[in-house]
Amino acid sequence: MKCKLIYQRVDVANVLIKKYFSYENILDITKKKLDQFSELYHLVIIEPYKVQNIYFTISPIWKRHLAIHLPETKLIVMGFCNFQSRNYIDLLNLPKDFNAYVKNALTVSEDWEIPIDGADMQEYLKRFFEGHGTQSLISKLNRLQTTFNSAETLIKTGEATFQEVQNELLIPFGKSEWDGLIKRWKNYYPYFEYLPFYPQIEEIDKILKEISEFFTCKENKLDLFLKLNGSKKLKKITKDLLEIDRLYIRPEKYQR
Amino acid sequence: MRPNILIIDDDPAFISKLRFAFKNYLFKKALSWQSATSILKNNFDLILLDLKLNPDSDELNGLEYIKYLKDAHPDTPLVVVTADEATDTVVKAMKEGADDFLRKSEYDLLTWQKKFELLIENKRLAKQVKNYEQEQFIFIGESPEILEIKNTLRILAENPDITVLITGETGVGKEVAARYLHQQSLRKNGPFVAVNLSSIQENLIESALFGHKKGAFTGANYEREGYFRKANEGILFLDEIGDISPEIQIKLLRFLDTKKIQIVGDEKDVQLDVQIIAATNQDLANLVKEGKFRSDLYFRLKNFQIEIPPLRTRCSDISLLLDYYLSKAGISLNEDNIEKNVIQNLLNYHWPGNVRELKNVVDSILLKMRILKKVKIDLDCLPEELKNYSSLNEKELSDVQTEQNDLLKQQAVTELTAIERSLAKTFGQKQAAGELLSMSADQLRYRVLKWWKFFPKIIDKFPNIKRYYKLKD
Repeated sequence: MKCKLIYQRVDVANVLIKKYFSYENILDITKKKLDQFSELYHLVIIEPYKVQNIYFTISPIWKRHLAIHLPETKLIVMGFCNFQSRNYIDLLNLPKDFNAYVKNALTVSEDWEIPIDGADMQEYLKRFFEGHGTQSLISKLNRLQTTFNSAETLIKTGEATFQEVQNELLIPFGKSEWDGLIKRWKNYYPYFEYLPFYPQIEEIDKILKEISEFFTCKENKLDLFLKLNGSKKLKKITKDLLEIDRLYIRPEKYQR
Repeated sequence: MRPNILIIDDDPAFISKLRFAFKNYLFKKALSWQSATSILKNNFDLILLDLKLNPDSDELNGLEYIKYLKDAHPDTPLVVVTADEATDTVVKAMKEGADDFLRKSEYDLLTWQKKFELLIENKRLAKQVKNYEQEQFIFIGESPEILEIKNTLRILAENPDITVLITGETGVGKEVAARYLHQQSLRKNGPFVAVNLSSIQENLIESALFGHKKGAFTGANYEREGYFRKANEGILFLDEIGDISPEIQIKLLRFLDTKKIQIVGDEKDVQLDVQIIAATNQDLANLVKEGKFRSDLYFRLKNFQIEIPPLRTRCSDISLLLDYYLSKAGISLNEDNIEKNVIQNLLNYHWPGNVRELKNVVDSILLKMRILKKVKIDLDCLPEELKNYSSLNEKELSDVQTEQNDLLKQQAVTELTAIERSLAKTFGQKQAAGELLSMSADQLRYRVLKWWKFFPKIIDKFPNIKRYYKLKD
């Protein structure tokens, strides 16, 4: 039976896992893309997962992701919780026949509980999106988009010079907002690497770097600004992050 | 002049960005609802309202302010602005009365600019149409006869089902009076449909009034609604009622009795809710005697009859009307703008065509002024029939003018005294003072300025008027 496995490289569970599963079935799928899972039958995640020296439960996000894209997949979570179910294996109480266990497991489309061991990654990432008050991620992006759109339009229509939009819009309303956004992004970026939507995060990161270049460059700013099309790029980032938020982090917010 | 926008939003950065981006607009900001209430008394061309005014709450508290804003500024477009992505927020806002909706997440300078322009332009056009409609049918007249007619019309307006007959010479203002009644009536929100019965071909009058089905007769290629159905829940003004045929008289009588009509080509009756105001310059009693008008219809119509006297019998209204129509072109009725002999001719003319003729004469004068490049209106600007008009010799003219002047002055003192006392009672609140006199603040202002123009020195006797209307010597 084909099996893909996420596992910790250095961890107490490592030894147990290596003894339990044969090597050829074990694959580190950190930062892998979805298309590599086209032949996936079941996925095993060992939790809690260590990210930036914090232990997290990440399997609920994976469950949601697989339910959308590969709904027949069986997800098995293994950990140290004193909990036994058709989809959770206590590492200290490994089933004798793993294949039989998997046969009996439920698919990701079905409703079953995952015990939270360590920090809940989903809850943690809510802070990434929510921020404080008007500092939610999407509000920040909207404000930046407003700034860039106004600046671009005023330059295109000749109603303002680049110097004017820099002094009146980009510097007072763009720079500080941007710095805040990038700081938050850098803080949370490492956590995305172990999550199924990481490929989208990579794309967003590239765009953010392009815009950052505009803010940090000292020369040819006008040319860079005109080529950048920042407003359009920010709209795309907003749209992609909203989608991630809706699907994985705060789905309840969008169910009205 | 730059359009004036009120923006109620707790994000000062957003307001600053808009201010810079929308250079052709003046923005007045309010960072909270409390600060907004203190500037709401000003006029704005557009209002932007953030639905989420409290940054610490997820609640859309702006929704509850929509109704309040629309009550305070019913004619000003209100656009709600939000970062909220939910569609039902739009629905809620529109149900509350918002005119349009913008999402901050979909901000695009050009799109927002176009939207502002469109909404402000629509507001301007709507105001123009409203002003035009109102101006067309302002019932001008302060003579005792006209004041009494207005009072009667106001009383009649309380009874939305009675039939009214308005009589008077051509051009005396019968339709204007009918519209005045409509404006005071419970039917004011319903249609006012005016029909000149003498202008419709006799063979088409039945279908024009009652409508017809498609194919009802040769040439009936489509269904026609008819004036009666158009006027449903409103008023149907039938001018030149004396000109209708006996057959139509019967159908009209049937409607007055049963409130039902029959559409041409259909046997079914249609029930309608229409108030009839009829008008004529003919002597209906005489027509009845001659057998040209049904006596039963005549008696039904003349139940409530109003006779509008000709203009020549109410001289004080002549100067009012002249002043009104001239002032629309920015010209006051005084010797600075008009030669003395011209004023005399205008005031003394017997106006056989009444108000309609007066309006046409003023239009003709203004046109002649432009053609002849006159700075001041003189005899050359007058139509021929007015140029040499003089019904009295100079002394008689002078006496009549003095008498007219005295009457006018008396009228001025009476009105100004009432206004002075009302202002004293309401501590200068013009709206409240107007209400005491059953007038709007605009009507009050019109009267004050009118008398100030005629008799500038008289205003010295009315300190409150002088003070609250800021009238300087």
